[in-house]
Amino acid sequence: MKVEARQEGSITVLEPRGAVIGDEVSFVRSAFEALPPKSRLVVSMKDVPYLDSSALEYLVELNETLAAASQRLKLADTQPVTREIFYLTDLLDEFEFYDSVEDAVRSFL
Amino acid sequence: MLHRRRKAVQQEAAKVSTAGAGAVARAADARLDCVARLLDAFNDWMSEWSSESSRWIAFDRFIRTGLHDAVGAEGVRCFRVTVAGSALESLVPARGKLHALIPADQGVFGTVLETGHALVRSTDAESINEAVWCFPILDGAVRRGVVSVARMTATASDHAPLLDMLAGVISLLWNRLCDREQLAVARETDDRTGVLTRANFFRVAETALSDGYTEHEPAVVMAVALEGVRGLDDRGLWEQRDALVSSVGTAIRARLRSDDVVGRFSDDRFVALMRRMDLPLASMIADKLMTAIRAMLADDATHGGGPIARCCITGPAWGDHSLRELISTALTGISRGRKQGEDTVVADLRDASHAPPRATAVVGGDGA
Repeated sequence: MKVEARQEGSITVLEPRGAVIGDEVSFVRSAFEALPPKSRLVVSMKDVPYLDSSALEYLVELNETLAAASQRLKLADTQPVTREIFYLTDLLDEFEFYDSVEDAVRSFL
Repeated sequence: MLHRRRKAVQQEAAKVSTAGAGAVARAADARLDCVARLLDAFNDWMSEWSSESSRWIAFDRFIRTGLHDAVGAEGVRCFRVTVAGSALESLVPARGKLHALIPADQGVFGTVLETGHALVRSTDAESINEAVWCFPILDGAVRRGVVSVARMTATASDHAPLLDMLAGVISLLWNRLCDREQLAVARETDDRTGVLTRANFFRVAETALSDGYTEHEPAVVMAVALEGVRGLDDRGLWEQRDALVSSVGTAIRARLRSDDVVGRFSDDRFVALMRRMDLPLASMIADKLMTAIRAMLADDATHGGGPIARCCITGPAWGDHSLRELISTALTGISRGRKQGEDTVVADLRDASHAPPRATAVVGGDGA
């Protein structure tokens, strides 16, 4: 898998491409760690067909990191079945979900 | 039913035709021809799309085409009432996005559904979100959906009878599609629990597992057993037993992903195939499911001191295990859990000592 980062104004959009599982979580971790501190972040889940427990754990960890900067992780374009994972593990309320990257970016305004 | 309807339409057309050659009769003739064409097109369409999973998307296109041909309709949108009944969702899901739901009790759609009457305006709508014609899809008192049209070449005042007929025919076809779908589901699912019967579970799950292996995706199998239901039988509590099995089946279906394959494996055992799943995540989901089932059993006093639920998950399978081996391992895990007094067992296939031999499954358990 690969992770692309792009800017939407002052907002950084991370776009993982492919399933986020096992060791591949490190690609997302590296992409986040390469960002300037306190970046305002949106993760586009459009091209993530599924994720596993380690990916879920990392997203929770990332959310906690962002919480230190009074942010919550914004997930955009999450595929329905992937979103069900958050519901089934009682994590749905821990994150912010948006139908599109545009909506997520707009939520910062 | 459709044939009877079409015949009635043709008979009425014949009566109208013989009644006179006046403009009224010709207009009625044209309307009935229009409806008859729609019915014929539907029969052709059903034979083409009856087995397709995307038939509702195709039906949306059928309605658009039919209304465009009949009254020059444009900006046609079709929504169905969701299972919960409180919202409307488009027949065509947004590509790559979550469904955008519309409240079923607000605005024009809410009014149309509430009253059961169509709304017709004399001028074109100013935007796609407005409607020049909007009609409900009803099945008796049941609200099925709503169709809205933003523009049409036919004027509402001149074509009111045609619009009524078209709305009636589309409702009829819509309901026929719903009935057909419900019949298909009923044929494949256990009528008590709503999950797949064992034979159908194997058919669907084998394909799903094979597809998953082809895509190099991990899979997990979960088995859930209800123990002690025979005790209810022995006490003559058959209705309670049936209700319990039904509730557990419903809980399992609700607590797994919508694309997980769930089957009723035997009288008191359920099995689920979860594609694109690793063992720790499956454990988390299984824990939540078992909590829900335990609460259900505890809440129902009639089952007090009776049945308990036990669960085993096994995986991850990456292509090296058949469905039958995985199920066998999971069911053996439940037996192991019973002996060890554990209600949730994890059989990790990566541990060589726990790998299932072809004949009997050996199960490890790090518990949960």
